[in-house]
Amino acid sequence: MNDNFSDLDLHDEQTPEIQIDGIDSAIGINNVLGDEALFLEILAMFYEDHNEDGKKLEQAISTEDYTALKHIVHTLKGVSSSVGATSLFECTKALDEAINKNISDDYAPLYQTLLPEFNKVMDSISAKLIKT
Amino acid sequence: MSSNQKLALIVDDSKTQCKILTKLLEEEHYSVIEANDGSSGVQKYISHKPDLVLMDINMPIMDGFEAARQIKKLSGTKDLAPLIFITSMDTDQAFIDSVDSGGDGILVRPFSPNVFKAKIKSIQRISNLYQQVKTLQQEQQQDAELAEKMMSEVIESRNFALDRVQVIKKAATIFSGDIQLTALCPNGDIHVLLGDFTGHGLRSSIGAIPVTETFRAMTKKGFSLFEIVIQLNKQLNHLLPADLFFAASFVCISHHEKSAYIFNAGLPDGYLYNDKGQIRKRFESSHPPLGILRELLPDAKVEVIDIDLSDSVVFISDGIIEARNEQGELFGVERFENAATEGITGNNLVSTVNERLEVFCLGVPQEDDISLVAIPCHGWIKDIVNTKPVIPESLNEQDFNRQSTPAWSWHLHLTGKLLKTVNPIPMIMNQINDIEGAGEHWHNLYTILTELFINSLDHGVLGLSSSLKKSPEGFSQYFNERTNRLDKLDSGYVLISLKYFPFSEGGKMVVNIKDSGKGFNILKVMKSNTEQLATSHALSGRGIELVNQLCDTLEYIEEGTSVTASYVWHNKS
Repeated sequence: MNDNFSDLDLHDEQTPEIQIDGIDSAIGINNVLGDEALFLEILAMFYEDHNEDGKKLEQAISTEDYTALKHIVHTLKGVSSSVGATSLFECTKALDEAINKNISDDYAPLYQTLLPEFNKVMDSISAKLIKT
Repeated sequence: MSSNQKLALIVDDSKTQCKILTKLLEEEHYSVIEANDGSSGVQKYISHKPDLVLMDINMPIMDGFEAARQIKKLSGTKDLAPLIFITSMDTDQAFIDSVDSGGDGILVRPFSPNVFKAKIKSIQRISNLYQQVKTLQQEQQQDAELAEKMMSEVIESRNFALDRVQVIKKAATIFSGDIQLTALCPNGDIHVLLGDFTGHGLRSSIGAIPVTETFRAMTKKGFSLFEIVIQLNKQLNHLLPADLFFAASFVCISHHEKSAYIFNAGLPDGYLYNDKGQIRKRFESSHPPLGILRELLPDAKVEVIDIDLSDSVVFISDGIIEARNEQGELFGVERFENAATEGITGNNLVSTVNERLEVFCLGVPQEDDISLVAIPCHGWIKDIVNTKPVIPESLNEQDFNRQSTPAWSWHLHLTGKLLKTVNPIPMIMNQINDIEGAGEHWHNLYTILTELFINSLDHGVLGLSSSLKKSPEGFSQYFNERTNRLDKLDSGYVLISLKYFPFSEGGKMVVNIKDSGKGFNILKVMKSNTEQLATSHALSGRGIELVNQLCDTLEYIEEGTSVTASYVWHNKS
């Protein structure tokens, strides 16, 4: 069993050792029960699987492929919440809601809000992983 | 990994999510397998039989709802692995669809590990209950099967002449509320019972054991069919709860009287069929089912009918005529009678009726127990010639000469109305069995006692002429006249005395029966009996001729009002 298990509920009071811009690593680490090594591994998977999502989203919006758009946003929303990318999660959630309500006029502006958050998260993960 | 470690299946197209969920599940002591689309999720469910399924909704190839539907359809009621949807789709429709597709719960992202843990715990509680119910069901099924095996061991396997009595028995559940019993009377007659306890299943089959024991024991001891019916009614009234009772048809077939005694209490009509499949007679229910009334109705009586030896008696339970097809139509009496006619003509009654029922019902589940018995009217006669005992040489003169003092003696003086209600023969047989123990050799003594007692009562006390039996109506007319005279009887007596002389290897029973009748011309009757027997198989003389063959000595004195028979038996060592 993980040594940090008993401290899980106290994560807010501790300063996480892993500092990544755009990611609340306390939440991310807590979501894997305090296992920091696993957390880093998951960030790597996240980066690998979703690094291209920015381009994919832009393409889906411009070609009006809303099925693809919905799927990408939906998945990204779920994963960003799991890794603790809270701002990115909020942005994807807003876009997801617009898609569910079929307000296609909002897609492009919401994407424009989302993109900087997305890039920030991906860049900082990339930087962190190269460092480690 | 311990063998009882639980297995979870995660179905999610995001490997990242799978990884995170795996971590959480391992913390709860699950081992984990993954699938990344709905279709392979279903495949892995089949091949790994997990204890828990976590299912994403939005997935390529096959979405989570469809995968859940397929998994739930597969598992049926057997493997009840709980399935939880895990999604970031927090719409009302997602909730509704997740329940409709068979999900047992839904977790919406984002959630904390503690919420996840609580969800797993609550779903596990339900799955444990499922498991307990499943285990209990299995145990109950096994117990029921064992109990049923023992019951049929007690009930059916000890039936007499299973090779000659045709039977259909199809239970609606493991336990049948219908029973079919056959037992051999000491004089070679056969008793058959078809009974139907209300309802079906274990509850209604419990009564079968006491009914079976009573029916067998009383038949074996020589009680008449009607005496058995009276006793069963009394016993069931005492034993059964108020809402449980026993509809039953009884028949005693007497080959040598060429008659059958029938009693139908609450079953559908019974039948007498001739060998061409024609219905010669229907036996309607003449009494409420047994176990309802404390005593039988005052006018309850058995019906006596003349039979042809090629006839058959057929009884059915209401499960046959009330079998339904898909349109809710009943099989009915007419369809049954047609099937029976065809079956009897073709000599395949059981298979014909079964086939017709199957074609009619076409797989509609059976609601009630279905049963039938068909009993041929011939072949229920003891071979007299072979039962004549040979008095062996080892019984020496000394044995015969030492008869002055019996080891024990027994007397019964029955008078007036008691002659109508008391059957002394089983009583006497009980005495003998109690003192000397049971044995095959008492069967002959039973026949001797029965014939001599009936002769004294019928021809002596009641003054019936045996020529009545020769009339075209035959035995039933005689029986009805006998019943009339017995009803009016208020005087007269029969005195029965037994003396028992043990030998070194066997013994001798001396029976004397004296009656209050007018007597008869002994020589004339014996002579005509012998002549009749030589030329034809007239019924009236058969009884005494049989007794004469079984006895060492048989002597009528006091103008035929007193008869003494001595029966000698040898203990084969």
